[in-house]
Amino acid sequence: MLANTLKNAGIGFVLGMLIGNFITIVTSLANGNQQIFFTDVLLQRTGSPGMALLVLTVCSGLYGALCWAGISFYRIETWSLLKAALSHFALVSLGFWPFAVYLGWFELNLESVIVVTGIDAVIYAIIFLCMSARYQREVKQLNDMLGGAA
Amino acid sequence: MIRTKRVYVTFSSDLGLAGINVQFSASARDEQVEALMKRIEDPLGQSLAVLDEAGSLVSLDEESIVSLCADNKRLRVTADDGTYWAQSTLQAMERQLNPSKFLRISRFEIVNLDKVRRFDFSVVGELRIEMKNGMETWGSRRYIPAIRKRLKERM
Repeated sequence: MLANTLKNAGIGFVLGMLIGNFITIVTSLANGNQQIFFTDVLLQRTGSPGMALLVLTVCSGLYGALCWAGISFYRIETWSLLKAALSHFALVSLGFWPFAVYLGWFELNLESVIVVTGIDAVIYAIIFLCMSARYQREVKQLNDMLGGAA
Repeated sequence: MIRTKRVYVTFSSDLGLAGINVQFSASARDEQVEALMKRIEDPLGQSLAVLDEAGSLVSLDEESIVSLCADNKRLRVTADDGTYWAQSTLQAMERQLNPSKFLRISRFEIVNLDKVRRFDFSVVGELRIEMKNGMETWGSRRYIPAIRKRLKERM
């Protein structure tokens, strides 16, 4: 379980870095100018665009590692799907804020928290319902085969 | 369920034998002797040596076993007529029991597929298994593909 969690964290770190940099590229292009776009907060904290890019990349990687490591919740046999999904949702939602505030993505206020957490909750509800529907289908197949075998 | 007498096993080498000759000696050809002879003839094994609630060693027919569950470093064996105990591991039992009937449903439990009434997936996302004797148990979602594969082989 620990080995799997660490492996997932490694995969998440790489994916996080890639996604973080991809978003930076997209926001920079959307900004219209020739430079890579960083938040003022991040530039102030790091002092230079180069350092800002490095910090952004590492923080994106760390957040990715956290999210993917949380997939291990679904492997805990004694946990229901709902418990695993709620735990993963809590980890991803709570883990988001230190990075978001440090990198200047969001300010830590009630409105931001409600909006971001609300969006996360909707996404996780959809994920839970899709997974549940898939398992329901598979269990129905088992019962059909059980009846056939009997 | 058959109450067992002590069994002594001896070996003698016979270079003239091409196969294996098994000879039983007892005061009478009783149920225990018949069960042992049947077991030797059918290597897949039709019975399990377990302890009853009183701690006596008994031989349990595979067909009467409902489930085997890991419980504090030993196995709780649920059968049609009660609960028994075995000093073994689930892994060892998986190798011993008839693979077409017995299937691992989680890290902690093996069930007899002949004794399963139906599977159910609860609202909170748990795999519930209802047995024909009314007992309920819980399986792991990860084992659903293995259960499907085994049921397909039995069809």
